[in-house]
Amino acid sequence: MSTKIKQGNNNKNSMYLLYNLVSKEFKLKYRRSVLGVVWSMLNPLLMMIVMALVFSNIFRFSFDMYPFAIYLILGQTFFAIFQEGTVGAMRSIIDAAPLIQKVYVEKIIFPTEKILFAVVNFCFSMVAVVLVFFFFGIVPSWRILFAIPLLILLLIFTLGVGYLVSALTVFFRDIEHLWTVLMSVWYYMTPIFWPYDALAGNGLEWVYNVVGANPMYHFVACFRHLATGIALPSDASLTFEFIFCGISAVVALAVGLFAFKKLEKKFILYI
Amino acid sequence: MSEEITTTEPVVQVSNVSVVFNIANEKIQSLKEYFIKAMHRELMFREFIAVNNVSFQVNKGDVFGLLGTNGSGKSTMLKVIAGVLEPSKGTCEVRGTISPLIELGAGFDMELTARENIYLNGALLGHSRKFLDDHLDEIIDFAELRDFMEMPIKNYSSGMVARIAFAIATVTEPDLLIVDEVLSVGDFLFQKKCEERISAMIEHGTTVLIVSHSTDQIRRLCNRCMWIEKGNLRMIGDAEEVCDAYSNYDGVS
Repeated sequence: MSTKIKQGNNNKNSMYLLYNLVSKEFKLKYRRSVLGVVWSMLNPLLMMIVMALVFSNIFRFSFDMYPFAIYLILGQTFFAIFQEGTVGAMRSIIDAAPLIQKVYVEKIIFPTEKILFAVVNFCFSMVAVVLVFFFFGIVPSWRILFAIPLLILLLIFTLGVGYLVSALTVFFRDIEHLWTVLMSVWYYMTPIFWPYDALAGNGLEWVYNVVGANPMYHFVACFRHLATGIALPSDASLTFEFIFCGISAVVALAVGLFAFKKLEKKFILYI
Repeated sequence: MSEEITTTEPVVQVSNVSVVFNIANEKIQSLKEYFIKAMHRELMFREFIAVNNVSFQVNKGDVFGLLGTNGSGKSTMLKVIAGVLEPSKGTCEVRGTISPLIELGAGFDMELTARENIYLNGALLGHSRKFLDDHLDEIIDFAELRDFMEMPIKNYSSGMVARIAFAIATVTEPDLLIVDEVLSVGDFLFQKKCEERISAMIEHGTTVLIVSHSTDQIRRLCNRCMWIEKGNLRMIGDAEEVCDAYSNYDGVS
């Protein structure tokens, strides 16, 4: 019940194909815009300025530890990998339909490409983060080097969730609408513009616990800690945080990959 | 309808392949309706058999034609061979590299320039960067579109797109070339050029699978041919004989 293709050439250059797809995405995103790739840096910066103004002036959030703007932009940019990655991956299979129907390609390339694109975008937005650090005269901690393995873990986590979402969307288009809503719930359930510890003594114990179980909270908290050297909330150790992130990443990838591989043969009948 | 047994190794071996699609029998408008039907077990799907228990083989060096009226399962069969569609029953084995010319330019992005598309499409077909760098000129020359390389494909005419796509797809000599009614685009000069290139490939040992409505084209190019009608294999054998039978087909039996 299968087509066996003993092909020499069609799979070994997957990496080159991936590179090509990511670069295509980039070219198309910034084609005909005057500032081009600068937007990848400008966007998070402008978003941060808006949010920082809103929350520190209107809602009067204040942090003793370090400038709100830094807290915000670190959370925003790191969360954006997950958000942009999964939202992009979601439609990737459906959008690649004309191709999948005609040429034999590894289908997993399409969600992977969207997620890698989000990571590339993140790398550009790091320029904005450096600018903000510079503006406040803060020197990043040497521990920022550990952000690289953390980034890889987040990539794995996002790939896992992205594979699952992209495969399910083929069969239930409702997910497309649901996921955007879920994503904004997830965004608010992650301490991006609010401090985690503020939840502790508010009688919102259950929210505190839910957020504590949210992998994205651990990723974001860990990233902030590594970038600034400021203590992790809820006196957890860095090792614990890394283990938590690692386990979430592996579980997500295992589930996502399993679901994707299980469902991919039926994609063609539904796209 | 039995296949003559040959000693050469088959490039494509299709054994008892059936492809069945489920088509919803009636449109279910609401979720409520869906549940009511599901409760009464009235949620029926009509099974549509696109390809019904077809077996054949294509040997090395064959130029194999596929004939049939619209909707008779030719393209479904090609999709199975290209590895895009999984057969519901039976197996299909392909030995070697495939270059699919099924609907030219499927992997093109209309916003990108021709040059960028050559690299993208080349990568999709499994070529490496070095290979594409080395063969870029060859592709451009064959397509005869050197002056339009920096133009987005969306400004191309369909014939021009077909030229580029054909040039990329045939830059290597694959073991199996699948051609699905693509030769009808492009002007007569380019069609001739394409046929010449296919002929050159055949001489070098490439096996070709052609789907066409034109019996003339099949007669001219193919040595063997298969005719499928409504998913069933009607006739297989010498291209001339099958084409004659197909030409006399009145669409009834």
